[in-house]
Amino acid sequence: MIRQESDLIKQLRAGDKSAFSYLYDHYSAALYGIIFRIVKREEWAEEVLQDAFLKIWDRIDAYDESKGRLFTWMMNLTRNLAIDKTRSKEITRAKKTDDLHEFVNTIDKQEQTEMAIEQIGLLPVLEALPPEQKLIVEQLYLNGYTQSEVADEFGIPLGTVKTRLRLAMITLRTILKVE
Amino acid sequence: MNVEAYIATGILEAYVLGELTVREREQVEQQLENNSALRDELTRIEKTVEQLAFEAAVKPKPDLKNKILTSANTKRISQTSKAVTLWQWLAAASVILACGFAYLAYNYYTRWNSTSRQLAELESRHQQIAQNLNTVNLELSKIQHEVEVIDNPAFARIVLAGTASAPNAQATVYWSSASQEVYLRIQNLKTLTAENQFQLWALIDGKPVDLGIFDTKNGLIKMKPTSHADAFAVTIEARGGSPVPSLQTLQVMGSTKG
Repeated sequence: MIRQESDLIKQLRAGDKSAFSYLYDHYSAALYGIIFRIVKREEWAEEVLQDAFLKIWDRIDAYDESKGRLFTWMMNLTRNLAIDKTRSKEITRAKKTDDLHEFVNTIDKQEQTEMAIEQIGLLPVLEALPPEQKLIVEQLYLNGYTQSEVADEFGIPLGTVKTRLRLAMITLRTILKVE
Repeated sequence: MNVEAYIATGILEAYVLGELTVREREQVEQQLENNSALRDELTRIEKTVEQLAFEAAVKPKPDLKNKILTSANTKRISQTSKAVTLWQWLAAASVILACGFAYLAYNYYTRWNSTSRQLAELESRHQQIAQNLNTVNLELSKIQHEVEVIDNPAFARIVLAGTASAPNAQATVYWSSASQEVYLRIQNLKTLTAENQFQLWALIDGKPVDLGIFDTKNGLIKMKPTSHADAFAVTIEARGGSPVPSLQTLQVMGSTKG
């Protein structure tokens, strides 16, 4: 069953649960991919995905079609939740570092996560981009960095970050067959 | 506006990423309203980003869907109607409670005030009564003692009758020859000036013996003891008494021989 985005939004606003089910089926994996790359831990990623969908369900009235596509709205909402989760967990973990057991546990989980990331990691479409553009797309869209964070982190001027992103988007548009 | 140049700044990508300030966002949204070419470009960027996210998708565990759908169901219902009404109920209830407490507080304060006033009144009245009772008790024990004297058959009752100089005067002496105790009770004696006092005498074998001085007062007056007396008499003497009676001021007199 394929639904028009405008119909889907109407049904969601009416509290139609089948529309919500469709929304989940259609978008959960795309959003989960974004979350997972940011929080890097399955347990947290699941929490964030749940928070995100509940927030989408509760706040659908706040979404304004005239200002952008539904997915853009959902993506930003989700990414912000994921970033918040990472920050709160980092603070909690920093307080617990003297607990040896916890410390060992954390290392175990980090290793697992790194393996998982490698499995998810490579995106064939990005291989078409020059490395400097690929880096920026990965950091911005997949890892949840802001443009200024990427600029600071990798020592690239902010203007250059923007230009490279713009060029990458034009290339990707063709590869992804966006009309 | 040069659309190409505007797009080339990368501002639409930043817009899609949610990286603009509120003011910048509003400016972009204003431009979008008036320019369909800009809107089309935005949609292309959004679709590219969306497509990219689909390329990078990771499937969550299958059981997560059910969990999320279930909590969404309950949450939606509670959020729209119940949360608002619950809030209103809470607000209304707290206002009512506050009014209620204010009234009760005022009420109890007033009652407390009047109660403490009443308590103070009662306390002073109680003190007064206790004092009165004390006085009465003293009086009572005195009277009881008098009654014991009067009732006691060991005491002889001698009525002292008025004399020529004071025909209406009268007094009574209670005397026990065994214990030698002498009590005097005034029925009617004239009022004296501050310089004078009455003095009681016992006549023993024709001689007057001093039994003490006294002033006008109620009840039995304890006098000096004597084992013998043929008669009792009261005279008026200078304050402090006299070693010998002044016969011209003789007030009352009575014989013990009946």
